[in-house]
Amino acid sequence: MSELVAQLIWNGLVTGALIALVALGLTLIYGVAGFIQFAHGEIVALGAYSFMVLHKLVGWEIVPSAIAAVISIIFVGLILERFFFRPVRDEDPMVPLVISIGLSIGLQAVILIFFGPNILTISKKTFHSLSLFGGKILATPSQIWAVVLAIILMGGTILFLHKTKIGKALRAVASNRDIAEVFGIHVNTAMRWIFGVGAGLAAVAGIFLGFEQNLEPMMGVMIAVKAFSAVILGAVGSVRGAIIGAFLIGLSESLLVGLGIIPSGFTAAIPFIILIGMLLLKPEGLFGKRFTALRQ
Amino acid sequence: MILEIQSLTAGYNAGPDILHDVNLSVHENEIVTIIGPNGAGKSTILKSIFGLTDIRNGKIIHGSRDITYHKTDQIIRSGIAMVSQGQNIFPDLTVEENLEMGAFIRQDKKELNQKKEEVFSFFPILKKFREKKAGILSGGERQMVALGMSLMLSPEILLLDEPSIGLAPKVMQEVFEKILQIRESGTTILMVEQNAAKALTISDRGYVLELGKNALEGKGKDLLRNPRVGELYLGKSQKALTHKKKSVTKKKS
Repeated sequence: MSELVAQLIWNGLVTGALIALVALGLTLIYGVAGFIQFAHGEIVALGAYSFMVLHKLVGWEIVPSAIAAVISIIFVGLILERFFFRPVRDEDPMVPLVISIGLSIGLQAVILIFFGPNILTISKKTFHSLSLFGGKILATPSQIWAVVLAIILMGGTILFLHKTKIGKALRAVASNRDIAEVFGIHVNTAMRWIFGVGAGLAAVAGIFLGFEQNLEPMMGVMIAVKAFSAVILGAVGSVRGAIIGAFLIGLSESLLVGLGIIPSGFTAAIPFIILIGMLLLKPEGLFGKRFTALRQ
Repeated sequence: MILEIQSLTAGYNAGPDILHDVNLSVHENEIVTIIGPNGAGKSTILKSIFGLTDIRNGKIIHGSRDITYHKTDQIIRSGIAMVSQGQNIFPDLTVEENLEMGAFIRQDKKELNQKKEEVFSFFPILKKFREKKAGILSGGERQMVALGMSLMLSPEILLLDEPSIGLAPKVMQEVFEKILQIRESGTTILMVEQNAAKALTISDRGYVLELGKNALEGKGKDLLRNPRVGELYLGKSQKALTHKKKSVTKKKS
C-alpha cells in the first residue's frame, strides 16, 4: 500500500511539474497582458512536435534537440505577440481572448496539416524505468528530469521576477500599466518578454509531455485546461498560486484515481471538479485578495 | 523661463479638443498651480507636457528645447517627472521596488542606490515600510511613495496632478509641506489642484482654467483675493466637497 501511495505521489509530482510550467506562463501572461491565453496549450504541443522533428526525424541528440526546440518556440511566442496580440493591446481584454481561442484552433489545424491526425511518438528509443528509494518508486529518466528542471525553471522565474530589473519592471506593468508608462517602462517590451518566457516554459513542458504520452494535434488541450484550473485555484495572476495549484491538481488527480476513489474514466473531470469547488468556496483563489488579481 | 506652453490645443485619441489655445509659463524654481472646475482640462495640460495626449497645435518648450512631440521616456530623460492622480504607485511591489521603478530609465546601479537612500532620508516613513508592499500603505503614505518615485531621477521640473486628492486634512498638510521642501531643494513645480485655497497659498503664481481655455492668471496671493476666483472656485470647490461627502454617506446607508 505505501509503495502504491509513493508511486502515485511521484506520478502526481511529475504531472504537477508539467502543469506548473504551463500554468506559470498563463498566469504571467494574464498578469502583464490582462487576458487568458487560450492558445497556450498549442504552444505546448508545438514544443513537443518541434522536438520530435529534430530528435526523431533529423536525428539530433536529446539535449541539442530540446534546446533548439525551446528556442524556436520562444520565437513562435514572440511572433504571436507581435502580430496577433500587440495590435489589440489597448482593446477590451475580450478581444485578445477571442483571438487566442482562434489561434488555438488554427494552430491545431497547422499541426494537423503537417503531421496528420495520427498519433506519433516523440522518440525511437525506449527508456527503461529506474527504481528510486529502494525500489519503492519507478521513474523514467525523463520524469526525473522533468521534475528537476521544472523546479529549477520555476525557481529561476521567481528569482527573475523579483531580483532583476526587467523582472521587476514586468511586475510593475502587471501592477499598474499606466504608471509604468509614466516612468518610461515600455509595455510592448514587457509583453514581448512575457510571451517569450511563457512560450519557453510551455515548450519545456511540451517536450516532457511528449515522453509521457503520444503526440497528437490536440495534445495541448488537456494540459492547458489543467493549467487554467491551477491558475484559478491559486488566484489568477499569482505566480506562487499557480505553482501550488498545479501540484494540487497533479497530486489529486493521481491519488484520487490511483486509489480508486474516482473511477479512471473520470480523470479528465478532476480539474473541473476542483475548479468548480474552488469557485464556489473561495472564488478569489487560494492566494487572491481581490477578484481582479493584478490588473487595475 | 524653464517651461513654456504656447497656444496648446490637445485632446485624446480621436476625441474632441480638450485644451484650446492654452498659454502657460513656469520660471525656474517656482511653484505654479493650475486651478479650475472639473473637466476644465487641468490634468490634460500636465499629460500633454508628458507626451500622453494627442497634441493638435501649439508648442511645449523646456528650457531652450521644443519637446512638443517627444515621447514620454525622452521627456523623463530631459528632466521632467510626473506624479499622476489617484492610483499612482505599483501596489503589488514593495516600497523599495517602487522607488527603483521610478528610476527605471537610469542605468548606474551605484547612483540608484545612493538616490534611493536620499529619498528614504527625505521620507523617513518610507524607510520603515521599505520591504512592505506599497498597496498596504495609507493614502498619505502612498502619496509619499509616489513623490519619492518621481524624485528618483532628480527632476528639474516636477508635475503634480492633484497631490492632495482623497487625503485627510492633516495628511494633506504634510504632503504640501513636502512639496515646499522639494522646491527648496531646487526643483520647479507645476501642480494641478482641486483644493485651490491651499494650493494657491503655497504657490508663487497660479492659472485659472475654464473649459480648456486660459481664464485668469496672477500671483498666488492675488488670485486668492480675487473675488471672481473666490466666488467661482474657492467657494465652489468647498461646496463640491461637501456635496461629495453627502453622496458618499448616502451610498453607505
